[in-house]
Amino acid sequence: MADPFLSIQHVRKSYGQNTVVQDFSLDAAPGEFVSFLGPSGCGKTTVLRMVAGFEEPTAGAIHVGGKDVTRLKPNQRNVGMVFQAYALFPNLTVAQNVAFGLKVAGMAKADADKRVAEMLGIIHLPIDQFGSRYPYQLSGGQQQRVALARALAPSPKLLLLDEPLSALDAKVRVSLREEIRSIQQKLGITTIFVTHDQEEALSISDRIAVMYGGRAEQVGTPFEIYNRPATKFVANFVGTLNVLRGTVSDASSGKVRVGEGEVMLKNKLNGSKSGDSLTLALRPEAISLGRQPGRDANLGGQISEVSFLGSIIRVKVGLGTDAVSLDTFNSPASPPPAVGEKAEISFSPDDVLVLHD
Amino acid sequence: MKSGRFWAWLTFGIGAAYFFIPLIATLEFSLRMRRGVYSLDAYQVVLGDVRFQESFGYSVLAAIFTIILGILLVVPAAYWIRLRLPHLRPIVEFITLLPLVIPAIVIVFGYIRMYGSNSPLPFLATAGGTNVLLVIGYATLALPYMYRAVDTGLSTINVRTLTEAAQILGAGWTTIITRVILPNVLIAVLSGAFLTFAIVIGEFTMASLLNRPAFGPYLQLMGANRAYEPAALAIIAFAITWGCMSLIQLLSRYAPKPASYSR
Repeated sequence: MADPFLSIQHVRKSYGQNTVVQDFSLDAAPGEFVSFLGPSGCGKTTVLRMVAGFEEPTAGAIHVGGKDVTRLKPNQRNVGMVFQAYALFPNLTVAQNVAFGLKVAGMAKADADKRVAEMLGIIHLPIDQFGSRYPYQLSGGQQQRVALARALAPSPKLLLLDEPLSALDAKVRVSLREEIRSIQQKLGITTIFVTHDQEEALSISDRIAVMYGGRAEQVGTPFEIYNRPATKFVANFVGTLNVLRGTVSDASSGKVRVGEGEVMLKNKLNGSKSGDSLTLALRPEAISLGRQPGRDANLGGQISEVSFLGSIIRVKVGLGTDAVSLDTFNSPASPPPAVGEKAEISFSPDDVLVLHD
Repeated sequence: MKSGRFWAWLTFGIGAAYFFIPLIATLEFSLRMRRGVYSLDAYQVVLGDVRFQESFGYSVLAAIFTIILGILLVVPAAYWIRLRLPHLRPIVEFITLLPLVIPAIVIVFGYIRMYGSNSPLPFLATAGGTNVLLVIGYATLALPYMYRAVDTGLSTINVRTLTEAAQILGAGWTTIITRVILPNVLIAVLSGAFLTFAIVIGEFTMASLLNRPAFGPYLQLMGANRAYEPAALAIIAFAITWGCMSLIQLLSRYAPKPASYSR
């Protein structure tokens, strides 16, 4: 990576005995879009608030543009932030809200007016139509777009987005996240995006930091996070995952017993010995019903559940004590399999993830 | 349903009669100064009385200073408690209620003992000092109303997020309070201010015991020595209070509306 624009170094945050962020480190390149993804209480918002200056780290350092900002107040950091609750000033119009940061910075009125018009143009809320409206006269999506324009108006060095889409309905969320990404790429601003929605994180991020228990479990591109999860938590949290318990029956040949069947997982055992227990994970799209060319590993089981979802049919196949879910396309010519039928599943050993706890 | 409505109207009628009959009687009596006909003579006498003008002017001035002191004291305190010290809220609420529990006469005797001419802080040694002490006393008496009005106003906005949004945009504390917080609770502050005004205009105990020429002692003096003028003064005092209440109602229509979280 080139010189990082944002560098979070070994940051820890404790409230008395309770440590909510432990030894968190992350470097973000200039113009990079990094998402913090994790469940509630994983510490993602706390890290963001430390970058913003609302919380002071108990240990560690934060550098923005090569400058140590760890102890700087929020109003001295030149950072833009969009909040989950929009946080528009109710007493100010849309134009006045966007101009707030410019006015505080002492920008001349003519320049500020020009900048406000420019920012409202970027978020597709023309100043002549929306400039004089008050926040209560806007929809949730419009309010959040104004909040984005307000955050970007003073040309901040860094943009922080704290779950900006979680209060919006599904359709607006999708369109606004695409708009955020497009504006971010256009302006080339380094951005940190906090979310608990994996689809959001996967769709718009350059890199994702998956967080759990105050730590970064894995930092990587969406492709890496989804296809090569480093831990069991990441594998479970990102996407749907089938987890199977297996036992190494012959380490030298890579033979692993799963339920009543056996699969060959050569080069996947990471030094496991015969008799060791393993946790194996498979994405639904990596499993086929019946034998398929290129998917050499096969296991027999019984169909335990069939859900008709329109274009796809979700089938659950029991394999001893475990079960796997897989999706097949709906075909009007062939009826879906019946519950209780014997079935065989196939997958490629290369697609099996051997997980570490 | 109809029976329920009848009892509701009856209760309302009894309540309204209990409130309005003495008021109407007072109004009627205040108009009977001239024998045999209704006239505004009592009002002319009262409004033309120099002592009325002086005492009323004094109390209005005292009310203005009390409101300023109350706002300076209460707005930052209530804001800070909501922002950073929410655990102290019950304690502060209890403290602000004390003036309702402790009689004004106790407070003023405390002042006289504490701030007499021989004390380290001799407020009572000069007329100006006594005026300052009276305003401080009035601010104390108005504290329950001012604090509750401001606190209620603050509860309608997301204090923490708005503060942080302003901070991240570069604003310091003065800008945050004057341009973000105060404008959004202005109507609540004005409500508190009008309540304070109404309290100060009618206050008797403190002004009397500190020997200040306020409107309250003047009302008492007139009541003890005249027949029709006290009734006219009572109606004027009611009109002032109602005027203040109407202004609160009127201004609340112009309060900034909180934006919905999602629409």
